[in-house]
Amino acid sequence: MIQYIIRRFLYTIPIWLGVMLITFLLFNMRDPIAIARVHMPQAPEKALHAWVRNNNFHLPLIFNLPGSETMIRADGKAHPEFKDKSIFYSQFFLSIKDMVTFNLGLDKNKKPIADSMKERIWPSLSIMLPAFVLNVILSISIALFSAYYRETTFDISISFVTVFMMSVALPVYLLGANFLFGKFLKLVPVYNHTALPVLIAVLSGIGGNIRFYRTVFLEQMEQDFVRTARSKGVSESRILFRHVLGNSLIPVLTSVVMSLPFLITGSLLLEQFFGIPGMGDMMYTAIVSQDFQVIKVMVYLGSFLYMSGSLLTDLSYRLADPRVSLS
Amino acid sequence: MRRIVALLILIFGIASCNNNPYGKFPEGKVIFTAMDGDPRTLDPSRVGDTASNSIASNIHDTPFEYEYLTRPLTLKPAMATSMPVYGTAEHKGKKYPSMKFSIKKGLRYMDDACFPDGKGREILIDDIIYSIKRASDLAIDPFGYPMLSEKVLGFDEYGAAIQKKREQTENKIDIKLLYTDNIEGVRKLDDYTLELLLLHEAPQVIYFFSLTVGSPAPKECVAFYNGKDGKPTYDRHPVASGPFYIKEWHPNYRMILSRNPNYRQDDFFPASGNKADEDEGLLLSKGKKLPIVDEVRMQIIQTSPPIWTLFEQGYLDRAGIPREVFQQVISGQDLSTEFKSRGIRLDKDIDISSYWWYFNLNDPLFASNVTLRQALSMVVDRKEMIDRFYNGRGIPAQSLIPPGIEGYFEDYKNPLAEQNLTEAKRLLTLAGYKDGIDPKTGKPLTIRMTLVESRGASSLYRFYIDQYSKVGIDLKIEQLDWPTVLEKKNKKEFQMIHGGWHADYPDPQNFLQLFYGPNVNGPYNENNYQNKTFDQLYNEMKDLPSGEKRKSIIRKMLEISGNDAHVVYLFHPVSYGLTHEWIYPLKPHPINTNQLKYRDLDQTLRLKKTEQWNSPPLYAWLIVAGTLFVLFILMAAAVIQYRRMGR
Amino acid sequence: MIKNITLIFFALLTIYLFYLFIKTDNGREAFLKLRSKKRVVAAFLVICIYFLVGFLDQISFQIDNKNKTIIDLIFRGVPQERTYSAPFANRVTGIIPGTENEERNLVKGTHILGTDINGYDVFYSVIKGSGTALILSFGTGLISFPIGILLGILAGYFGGWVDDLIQWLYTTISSIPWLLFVIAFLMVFGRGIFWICMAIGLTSWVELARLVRGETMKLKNLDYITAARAQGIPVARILYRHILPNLNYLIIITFTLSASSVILAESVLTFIGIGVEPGTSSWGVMLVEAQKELTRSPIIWWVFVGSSFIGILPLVLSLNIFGDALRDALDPRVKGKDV
Repeated sequence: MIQYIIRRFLYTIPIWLGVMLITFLLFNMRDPIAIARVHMPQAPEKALHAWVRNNNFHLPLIFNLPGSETMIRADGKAHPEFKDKSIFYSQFFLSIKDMVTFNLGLDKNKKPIADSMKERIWPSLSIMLPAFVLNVILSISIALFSAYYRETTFDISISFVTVFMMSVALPVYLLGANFLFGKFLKLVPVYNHTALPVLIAVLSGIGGNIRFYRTVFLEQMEQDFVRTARSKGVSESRILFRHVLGNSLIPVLTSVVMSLPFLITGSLLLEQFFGIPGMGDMMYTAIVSQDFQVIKVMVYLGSFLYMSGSLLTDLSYRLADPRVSLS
Repeated sequence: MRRIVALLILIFGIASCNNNPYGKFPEGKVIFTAMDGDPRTLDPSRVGDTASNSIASNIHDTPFEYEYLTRPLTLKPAMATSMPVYGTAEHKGKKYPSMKFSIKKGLRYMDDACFPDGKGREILIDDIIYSIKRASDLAIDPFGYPMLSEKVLGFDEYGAAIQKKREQTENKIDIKLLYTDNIEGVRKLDDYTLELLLLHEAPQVIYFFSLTVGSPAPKECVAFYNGKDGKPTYDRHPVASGPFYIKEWHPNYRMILSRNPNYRQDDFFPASGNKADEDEGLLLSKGKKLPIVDEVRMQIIQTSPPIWTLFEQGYLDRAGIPREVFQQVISGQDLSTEFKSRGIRLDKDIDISSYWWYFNLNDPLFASNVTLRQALSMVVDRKEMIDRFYNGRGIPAQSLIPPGIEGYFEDYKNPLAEQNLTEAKRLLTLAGYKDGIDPKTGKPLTIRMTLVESRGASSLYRFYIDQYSKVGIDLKIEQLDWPTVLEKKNKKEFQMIHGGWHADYPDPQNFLQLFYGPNVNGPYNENNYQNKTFDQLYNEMKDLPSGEKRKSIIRKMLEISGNDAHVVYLFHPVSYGLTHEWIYPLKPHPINTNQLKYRDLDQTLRLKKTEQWNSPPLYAWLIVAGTLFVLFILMAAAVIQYRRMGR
Repeated sequence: MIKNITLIFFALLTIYLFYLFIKTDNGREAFLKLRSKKRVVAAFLVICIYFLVGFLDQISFQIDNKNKTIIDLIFRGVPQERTYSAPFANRVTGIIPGTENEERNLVKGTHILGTDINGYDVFYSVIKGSGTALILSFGTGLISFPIGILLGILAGYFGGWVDDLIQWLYTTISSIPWLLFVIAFLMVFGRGIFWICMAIGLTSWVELARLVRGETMKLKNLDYITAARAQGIPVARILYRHILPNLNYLIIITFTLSASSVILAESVLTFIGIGVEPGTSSWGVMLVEAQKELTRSPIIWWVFVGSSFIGILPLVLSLNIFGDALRDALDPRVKGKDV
C-alpha cells in the first residue's frame, strides 16, 4: 500500500512539471517588453527596461545555456554574470521555486496575493461549500430515485428538465435571478448575499450531474449481482443503497473530485455579479485589469487542487477496492 | 435524511429573513452609493479624472473653496484665514506682483500610522509649499502643473532641476532628498503664511489652491507610503485633513468614507440662502456642522442590473453615473410614473464639460485637407445621438466651451457642428472623395477612429458607423482599453480619437489651453493644432479680466477654430442621478465635487420606505412552497406508477 | 480566412457524416434507431436549421461596395428603425412624451422580435449570431479533432513510451481547470473568434484523444488487425483503413456534445469581457447588451429573450438531446439496452 502511495505520488511529479511548463510558456513566451508595456503603458524605453530587469524577465527562458551571457537580453543589456550561475538560473526554475515556497508575488495594486487570497477564501467557500454539498446530495438522490423508478412520468420529466437546465447559458441564469428575486420574490438580497449564488450554482450544475449519475446507477442496476441479490430476498432499499450506490462510488467520486477546483477558484461570474468578494471575484478583476500575476497564481492553484483531488481519489479507490491497480 | 432536510430548510430560512444586502441598516447617518470602478488615484497632486476627484476632493481640504449656495460662483477661505492679499514684492532688485495668504492655526491631519505617535500633527504652511513643489515634478504626472507654470517665479526652473536630479540618479533617488531645495518665487513668511511671487498678474493662481492639487501634503507620509514592504502607495493611501477619511477600501469591492474627527471645527452649512434655494428644499440642513453624515459607503459594482435593482429596492440612495471625461453610454433611466409615485427625484448635475473627436493633424489624410475635415464634421446627427443614447440629456456643442462659463454664447452657431448631409456630400466631392469613394482605391474611404472599449458602448459605436455610411464612408472603430488609448494619444498614433474636457475652474482659459499651439508637448493639444492667430489671441485673453473685451476675443477664437475644423464638436452632457426622497436635495455645483459634506438624509424615512417596499409578497412564499409541493407530488406519483408497472 | 477554412471543414464533415451513415453497419443501425424517436428527429432538424442558416450567413457577395451575405439579402426588406421597438409594435420605445406621432417615431416594418437601440431587427441579429456559433463550433473542431485523433491513435496503437508521453501530455492539460486556462490563453494572445477557437481547440482534444486511445487499444488486438500486421502491411495503411473508420462514431458524438459547450462558453467569455471581438455579432454580445436593457424602464426584454431563448437554448438543447441519443445508439456497450 505504501508502495502504491509513493508510486502514485511520484507519478504526479512529471505532471506537475508539465503543468508548470505549459502555464509558464503561456505567460512568459511573449516579448518581455510587450509584457512591461501592459503594466506601464506610457513609460519610456528606459523605464520598460528597468521593469524587465526588476521582474527577472531578462533571465534565460528555461535553461541557462552557455552563451547566454553574451546575448543582449530583453532589458537591453548583456549579462556576463550568467556564466557563473547554474544551468537552472532561468525564469522557469525561478518560478518553480516561487511556487514551491509559496512566494505568490504582488498584484497590480502591490498587495501581496497571498494576503488577498487569505481574505477571499472564506467568502468563496461560503458559496461553494453549500453549493457543493447541495449539489451532491440533490443529484445523487434525484438520480437514484429516477433510476429506480425509471420510465415513470417523474423520470421522463427529470430527463427533459435536466437537459433543459444544462442548455441554459450561465449569464441567463444570472440576469433571470436578479430580475426574479429583485423585482418579484424579494426573499433574499440580490447583492452581497450567498443565497442566490448558491441557488444558481446548484441549478446550473445538477443538470449534468443527475444525468450522469442516473446512467451510472442504471448500469449498476442491470448487473447480474443485483438480480442475484433480489432473488436471494435482499430488500430493495438495501440493494439500492448498499450495492448499487456502493459500486457506483468510483465514477461518482471521480465526478465529485473533478469539481473540487471550483470550490476554491469560485465562480467568476457568480461572485462578481452578486457582489461576493471571493477568489472568483479576484480573478474577474484580474481579467479586467490585465493582471497576469494573479491569473498565473489562480491557474497554478486550480491545477494543484485538481491534482491533489485526483491523487486522493486514486488512493481512495485503492482503499475501497483492492482490485484496482495502478496502470 | 430527515436531518438533512431540516438543515436545508434552516439554511434557506435564515437566508430569507429579509433581502437587505447589508443585513440591517447601520445606526447613524449613512449614505449608500455605488460606483462602477475604483478611483485611479487619490494622491492630491495626481488626481486628474473626475471620477477620482469626486472622491479625492472629499478627503482633502484646501485653502479656498466655493460658497455652496452662492451664484455666480464665489470662492471663500476654507483652510486659509482670509482671501489672498495681492500686492507687489521686491526680490533681487526687481518688483513682482505678489499673492499672500495664511492658513489657520491649529488645523490637524487625520490620525495615521505614518506619524510618529499615530496622531495627526498640525498642518503648517510648509505642507502647502510641499504640494507646490510636487506640482512642478513632471515625473509624477502632476495635474496642477499648468496652473502654476509660467505664472510663479522659479516654478518651471525648479521643475527642470527636479527632473535633472531624477535622471542623474536613474530615478532611484529617495523622495526625502528630492524636494529639499526651494522655489524662488515661493516664500515662507512664517509657519502659517505664504507669499507667491508671480511673473505677471495672474488671477487664476488662486484656483490652484481651491482644487485638490492645492491641498497640503505631509511629506513624511508621502515618503512613508511608497508601496514597499507591503505598504500601499500614496495613490491608495493619502493622508489628509478633509471632512472624510478612508475608513476602508477593498479594491473592486467597497470603499467606506468616515467622518474625520480631526476635521476643522469651523465648517458649517450656510445659515441662510435666497428664497429660490429654500423652495427647492436646499436649506433643510441650515446651520448644521459639516460633515453632516457619519459615513458614506460606496459599493463598487461593475454591472448595471445589481445597481438598478438595489436602487429600486431602496438599498442604494442614489443611482447616478459618475462624471467621467470619457464617454459612457448611460442606460436610460426614464422617470416612470411608478418612480414618481415613490418619491424618487431626478437630480440634475450641471456638467461643465465638452466632448469632441480629434482629427490627427499629422495624418496625411487630414493634414492639409480642411474641406475633408469640414465635411466629416457635418455627418453625425448630434441631437439624435443625445436622444437615443443619453435620453435627451445633453446639448449639441457648437464649440468647446460649454454653457456656464464666460465664452459660451447662446447665439453662436457653428454651421459645421450640425448634421447637414447635402453640404457634407458636396464638401466631400470638393475634397476629392465623391460619394465617399477614395479615388486611389475605388472603394469607400476608410477612416479609423480609436475609442475606448466599453461593454456598453458597442451600440453607440454602431451608430457612428451607420451615420458615416450615409455619406459613403467606411468608418472603422478600433476599440482598445483605456491605457492603450492614452498611449496612442500620446504617441499620436491615431486618425480620429475621442477627446473631452471637464472644467477644473470656471474660466474659459481652462478649455482654450487645449488648442494652444505650444502646448503640444503637454497633456493638452492632443492633435497638434497650430494656428498662429489663435495662439496670439490666446495670449491676449488668458490673463484679461472678464468683460466684453475678453468675450469678443474668445468669440473670434471660436470662429477660427470652428472654421479650421480640426476637431468634430459633439455635445455637452447634462449628467443626472436618480435620488430617493429621503436624501435631502443638493444644489448642483458645476465644478465642485466635494459635496459629500453637505449631504443629509432622513434615515427613519428610509427605514420605513425600504421595509414597505421589500416585504416579500405573499405569493413569493406560495411559489416556493408550491414548487416544493409539486416536486413532492411528482415523486409520490412516481412511486405509485412504478408499483403499477409491476416491476 | 478562418471562415473559409472552417467552411471547407464543415462541408467535408457533412459529406463524411453522410458516407458514414450510408456505408457502415453501425451507422445504419443507429440511424434507424434514432429515426424512431420523435424528439431526436426534432432535435436533429433544429440543429440542421440553425447550421444551415448560419452557413448561409457565411456566403457573401460584393454589392455596392459592401459585403452582403445571403442572410443580409433575405432581410433586405426589413427596415432599420430609429431605435428600440417592441415586437410587432408600431411605435418606438421610450418616446419623449409629446412626440408620439412624429414621423421618425413610427415603426416602418414588422419585427417579430422587435428592434435594438440602433433600430436593427433583433431576429436578424439572432440569426447572425448563429453564424458565429457555427464558426465557433466548427473552428474548435477543426483544431481539436485532428490533434485528438492523431494522438489518440498513436497512443493506443504504439503503446510504450509514445503512449506514456501522450498520456502525460493530456493528463497535464486536463489538470489545469479548463475555464481558467482558456481565460489565461485569451488574455495572453488576445480575443476574437480565432483565438477562442484556438484556446478551446487546444484544450478540448483531450476528451477525444482518451476515447480514441481506448478504442484503438481494443481494436489493435482484433484478429484481422493482427493478421494485417503479420502480413507486413505498412502501419499508416492499417491505421487509415482499418482503425480510423471504426472511430467515426466517437468523432460525431464528441463533436455534437462539444459544440454545445463551445456555444455556452462563448456566452460566458463574452460576458466576462474576453470573448469575441467588438463588432462581431454573437449571442453572447446580445446578452451583454441585454443586461443594460433589462434595467431600463420601460423594460426592454426582447433582446434578452431573443438571444437566450430563440438563439442559444434551442440549439444547445437540441445538440444535447441529439448527442445523448447518438451516444446511446452508437456506443457498442450500451447497444441493445433500452436506457
